[in-house]
Amino acid sequence: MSETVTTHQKTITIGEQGVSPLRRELLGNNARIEELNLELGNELHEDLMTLNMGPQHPATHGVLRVVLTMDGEVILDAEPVVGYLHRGKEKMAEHLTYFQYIPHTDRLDYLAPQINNVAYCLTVEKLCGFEVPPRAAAIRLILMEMMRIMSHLIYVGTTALDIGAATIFFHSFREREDLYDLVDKITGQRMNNAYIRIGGVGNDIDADTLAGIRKFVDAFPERVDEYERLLTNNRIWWNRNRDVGILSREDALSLNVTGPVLRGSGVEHDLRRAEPYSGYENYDFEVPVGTTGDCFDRYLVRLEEMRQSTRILSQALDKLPAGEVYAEDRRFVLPPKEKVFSSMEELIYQFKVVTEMAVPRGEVYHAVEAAKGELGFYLVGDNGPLAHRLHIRSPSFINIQAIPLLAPGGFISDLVAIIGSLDFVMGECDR
Amino acid sequence: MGLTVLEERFGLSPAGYLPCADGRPTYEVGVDQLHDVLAFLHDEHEPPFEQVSNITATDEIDISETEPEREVLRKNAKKRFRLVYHLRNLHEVEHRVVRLVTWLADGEIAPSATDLWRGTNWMEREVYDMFGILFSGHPDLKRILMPDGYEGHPLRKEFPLRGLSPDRLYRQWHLAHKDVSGDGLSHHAPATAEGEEQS
Repeated sequence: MSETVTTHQKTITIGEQGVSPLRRELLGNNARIEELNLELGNELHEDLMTLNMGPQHPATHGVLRVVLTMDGEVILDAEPVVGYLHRGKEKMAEHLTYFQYIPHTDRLDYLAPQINNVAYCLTVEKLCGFEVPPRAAAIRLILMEMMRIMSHLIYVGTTALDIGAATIFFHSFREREDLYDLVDKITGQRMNNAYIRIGGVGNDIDADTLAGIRKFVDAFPERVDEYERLLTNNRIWWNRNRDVGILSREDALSLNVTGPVLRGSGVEHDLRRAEPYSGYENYDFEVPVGTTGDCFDRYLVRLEEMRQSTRILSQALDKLPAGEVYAEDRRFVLPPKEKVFSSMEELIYQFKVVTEMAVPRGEVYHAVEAAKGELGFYLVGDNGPLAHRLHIRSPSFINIQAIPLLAPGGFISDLVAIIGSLDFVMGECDR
Repeated sequence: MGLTVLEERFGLSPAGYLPCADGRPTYEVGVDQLHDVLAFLHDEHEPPFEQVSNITATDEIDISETEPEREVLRKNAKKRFRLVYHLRNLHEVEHRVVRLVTWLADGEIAPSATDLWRGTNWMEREVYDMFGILFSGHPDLKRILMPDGYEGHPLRKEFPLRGLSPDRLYRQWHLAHKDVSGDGLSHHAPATAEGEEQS
């Protein structure tokens, strides 16, 4: 429960309970206000105000809280507060077997769950020292690119909605729905699919679904052009994004941001190029980069990435290899279900893998280019079925750190555009 | 294999505590040398390591043997914590990621890297929050994922999976902390379950 106060035609929500909202000393961070007043050296600024945005604010995309220090309409200081969605994923990884942990990775970036699955399974496979068959790798790649498009569609739709352009939301969610239908056909679920296994994928894609993906790939570039017509030359969209939240190249590097945020600032870095996995080195695609590093550049980068993902999908469909979708290594890989029910040996293997899978002692860091940036898993194995330590390097957690740098000097409405353009997911940030 | 320049200049040796399954050069660095090595890789190494991918730690205590008065480490562990850095090079080089490992005893303080990369701020706060490792020179070292005023450090091995007091809500930890820090909120919202229901 929170209270709302209306002052000067603005509505302020105060997050704490039972506090009289009109007592100025209770409104917030007085020490910080004093400090800023001293810096400004101006008595006119003694009315600095602390404004609490979130954790239940629709424009913060989840449970991010930003504590703002305002001078009238202008933001002087912004401090993001995270942790409201912390579920102890890293601690849980030390108490679950490697297979049991796969569904937990779905709940990190829940807008692109298969990328998390693949990143985790690739890490475990690297530690165990085997690779998946080419067809499984290609199916993983197809799913990852579909997830990337889905995640960027959410970005385009919701950010435009936050800024006030509602139309594009319905267009982008229409295409997202098409993709969800395809993902449903492949994995059996719409969200939180847990379809990737250590050693392969859950089951093969049938020809019908492949034809559906082909149909989507053929139609989608035209849709992206449609988004461009709705937004890129739209004066309101332009004014709200152009030269807002400029992140310079140096700051982007120093803040360790990754993904479209880093590329929007003009750094050509993509892990699909730098450290290829799942066969990305065999595909032809461009890495788009921005020039000024403002919200508009980050928008353009994401739109172009959707086109490039379509290109990759098209090539992957053309040269999808035949063969098995599951590795044969019976030390680490669960046997296929139909074999378990018909063969005694396979049943024993299944039992042994579930109860005493001996992932070797050792350390490994593996990162993939997720929709939001570098998603890395640092895994320490311990000669047994439980990990000694699993650390998740989540791109959202790092990218949110850019808010204190980008927000000051702008208005609250600019902050909404900045938060949208950083495109983070709190499930991944808080873990 | 590896970054021989680190061996020549700082006398580092490749870390041998854990087998390295990903082929990344891994070096063991003393805590007093750590900041110099980081600064060298950031400023002087050509091409520079422009980003830190992550900072994390592992707890090497042997929980099955450790008793309240006697701390037992796992076999071959030098100290209780391994502080692990992954630095990333964005240029076309042989080794795009280098891993640095520093052994820390419980209570030992590591140097902060926030003066080199601003983005390490939250990474170090997370390590502090989860393991209780302190960083000297950090501008604002406080909890990040757990609520302010939380007791204990969840990723230490002796910390139970369900938490120390699993029924206590985020808000109650948070308000208990505000009570201590005295910003005037506590007498309106006492940090008890009764207070939750009343308001």
